[in-house]
Amino acid sequence: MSFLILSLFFNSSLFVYKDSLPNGLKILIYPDTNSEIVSCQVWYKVGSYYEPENLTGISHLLEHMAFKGSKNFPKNSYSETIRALGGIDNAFTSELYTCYWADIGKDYYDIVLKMEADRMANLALDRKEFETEKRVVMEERRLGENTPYSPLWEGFGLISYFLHPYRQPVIGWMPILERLTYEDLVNWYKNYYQPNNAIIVLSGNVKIDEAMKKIKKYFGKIKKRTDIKERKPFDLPITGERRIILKREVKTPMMIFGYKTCAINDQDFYPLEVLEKILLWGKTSRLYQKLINEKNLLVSISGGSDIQKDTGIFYFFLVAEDTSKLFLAEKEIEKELENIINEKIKEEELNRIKTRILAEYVFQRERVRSIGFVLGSNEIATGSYKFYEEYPKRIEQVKEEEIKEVIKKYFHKDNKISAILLPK
Amino acid sequence: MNIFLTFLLLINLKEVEIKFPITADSLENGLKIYGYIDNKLPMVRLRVVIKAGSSYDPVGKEGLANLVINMLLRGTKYRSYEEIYNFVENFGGRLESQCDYDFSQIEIVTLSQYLDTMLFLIREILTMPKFANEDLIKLKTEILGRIKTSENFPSYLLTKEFIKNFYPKDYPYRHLPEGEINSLEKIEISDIKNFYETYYHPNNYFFILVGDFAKEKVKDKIDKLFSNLEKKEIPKLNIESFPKIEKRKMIIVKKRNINQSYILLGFEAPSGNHPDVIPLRVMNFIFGGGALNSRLGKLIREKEGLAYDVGSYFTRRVYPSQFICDMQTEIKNTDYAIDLILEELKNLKEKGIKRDELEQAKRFYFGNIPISIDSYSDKANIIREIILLDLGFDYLSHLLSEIKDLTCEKINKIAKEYIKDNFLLVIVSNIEKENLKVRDWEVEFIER
Repeated sequence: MSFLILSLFFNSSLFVYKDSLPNGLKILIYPDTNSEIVSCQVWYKVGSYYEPENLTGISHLLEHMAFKGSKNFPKNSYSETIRALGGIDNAFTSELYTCYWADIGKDYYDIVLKMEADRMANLALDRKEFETEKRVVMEERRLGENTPYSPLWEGFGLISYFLHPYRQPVIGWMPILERLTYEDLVNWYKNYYQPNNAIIVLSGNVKIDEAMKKIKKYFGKIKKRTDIKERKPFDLPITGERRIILKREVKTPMMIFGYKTCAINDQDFYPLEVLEKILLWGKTSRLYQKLINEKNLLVSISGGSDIQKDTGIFYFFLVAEDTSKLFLAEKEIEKELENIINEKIKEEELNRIKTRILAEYVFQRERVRSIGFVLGSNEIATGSYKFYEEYPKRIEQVKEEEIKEVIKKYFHKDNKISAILLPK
Repeated sequence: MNIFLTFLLLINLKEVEIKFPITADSLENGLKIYGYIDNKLPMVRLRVVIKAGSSYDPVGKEGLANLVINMLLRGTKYRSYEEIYNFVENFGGRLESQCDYDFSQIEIVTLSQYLDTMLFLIREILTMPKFANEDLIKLKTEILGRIKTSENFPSYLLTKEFIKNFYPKDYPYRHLPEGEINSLEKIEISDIKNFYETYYHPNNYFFILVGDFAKEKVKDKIDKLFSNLEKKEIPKLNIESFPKIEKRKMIIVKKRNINQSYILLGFEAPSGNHPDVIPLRVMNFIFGGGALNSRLGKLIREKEGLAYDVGSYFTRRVYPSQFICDMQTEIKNTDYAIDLILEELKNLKEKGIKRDELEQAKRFYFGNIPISIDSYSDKANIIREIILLDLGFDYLSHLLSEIKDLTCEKINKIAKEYIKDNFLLVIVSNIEKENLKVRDWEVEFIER
């Protein structure tokens, strides 16, 4: 089975064209003539990972401000123009990047590139608009505060990393948001929105030579302002279990617990990925079957190996109907990890997971935007878009012993972090 | 409007040629097969859609349709819950179920080479359910837990309270598809079997396939697997009264420990295949459906900075439903935000839309078709909508020609008709009674 799918995988490998301009701008193009549209994406290497603790949320706030107009496309004209051509657009900010994307008919992507170039070089950044948009972002933050998830995640982040910026929420802390100044924003823009810190991803119905001509025309003349130093954040080592308990009016208690693991370029990354699938991938996963279907301890379970770039965490997110079941489930998960070390993992189980990963490689390509997202995020997080193709091959090579080894190495009490939310 | 956009509106968009060839086959027992062949990837999205969503739940047994579709995956005569999923996943596939208001659905995403195998499995799932009581108990426990978790979220309480008060008693859209704690507790295995016996017949479900498959081969395979099933008469829904808001009413659901007001304001909307739907959609795009470029987005978010999420939409369903404005804002701004929404509604009703707004909306719809059908999933969703609402295979072309002919006068007439004086406003908030402006409406406070 796996062999059949593996051959399918090699036969349907992606063709991606990679290039760059003298100003440092990187370009990735995935041509797909079956599609009638183009997903036009500009990725900046900036997010909460780059923020000092007195500027948390500034990358995300800048993303909002980037829709307020630039020199040649004032006010809301960026989105208005895209809508008037039938397109849709949006943006998102994460720890490592900020991405602006627009899906548009194949005949109109030229206009998007023109507007994106203006956004990169000539963003308007009006002082009054800044104050209004800050209030919008504060409303966005409040939306999260009114769910149980955000406070729990933020608590978990704070005890997981003492110094590393992964401890900061992408949206920023409310008191910091209140204090962000217009000058902070302008400086952040000037520093990070430069061609040498950006990647253009075009995915869809484009001809490479035509697309390159357009990119050169609009972006070629943008000069880089400064060199950007690669940030190398660090953290204190974990030397014993960390656990916090939060209380709030909730109907169902919840818990996130996890273990610090490794960075994305570490060899352990792949066995951790397979372990994630064994434990948590869908209805056939061991923990769904055991904790929800058989023992009725949990309402839901999710989680996995969360590794973006630097040392990540393998976590479990549990929701239970009552507190005693929540803690019982935590113990059961630890027992299941022991079981994996002590018992043979059935070949059928491993094969099924590897087969599914390979098939997902095909399924993911349904939407040109999704392919663009994968290419852009991999280029930034791992240094190469090719990680996308590398991933299924490396997963295929993971051996049972390697899975057992990563459990022994990382999943122990002194490396454990838990945040628990109990009803008041 | 910016100069660039003004210039853009002067240029004619390239004539859109809609290519959306749906194939159709049927068996003698009434089972229909709809397909869209796209060989871009070696995969197929295979759906079976049953015309029995939560709107068919009997009164007092809300959540039944959702339980039935999920119980089908909990076991057949030959396979357990885990074995069904293992079977699909061993071939690299995905298996999912869904229950919406108007339909229930099972979907398998599979590599093309395993399509026959998956059709075989679907046959087994649909026609040989185990329906064991122990499985029902487990499923109910899981869903009850999920409902309890949802109750932590203000937006869930808002929707639940809104539909309960907006629709008349016994109306099919008066409850959420997953049901409620009280109703789920009453559902027994006999209810599951009865519902299944009533609605799960070949003349009441249809297949949708999108992707890389051979039409004739699929037809033959489905014929072999399903032609021996008998068709049966399906009882129609008996709807006695339709939504009608008789007076302005505001319901405030008090929820402690939240720092925003969650607001829903709604009017009656027609059924999904009503001739007014297309102009109503365009009106909605201009008013609040076009994200930040809509009137609500520009005023409430962009100009005033009052909300992150603000907009309007109407739910397109088989029976008349709702046209909604929604937003969340800091508690102290509640009254001001409500007044702004009401003012904008009044403007739309009394002054109508502008010509350039209509032009932009038209352009959006013309250019948006290829984007809205880019993925296999998008295509399958459109086919499902076409069939459930009986829109005709030429729906996309028809949509465009109708939008092309729309005038401001037509939209303004629609606005006058659907933005009525009476509406229902529901707020979930930690606001005190005395901190809300006194309005000449019926007001109800509920503590949660």
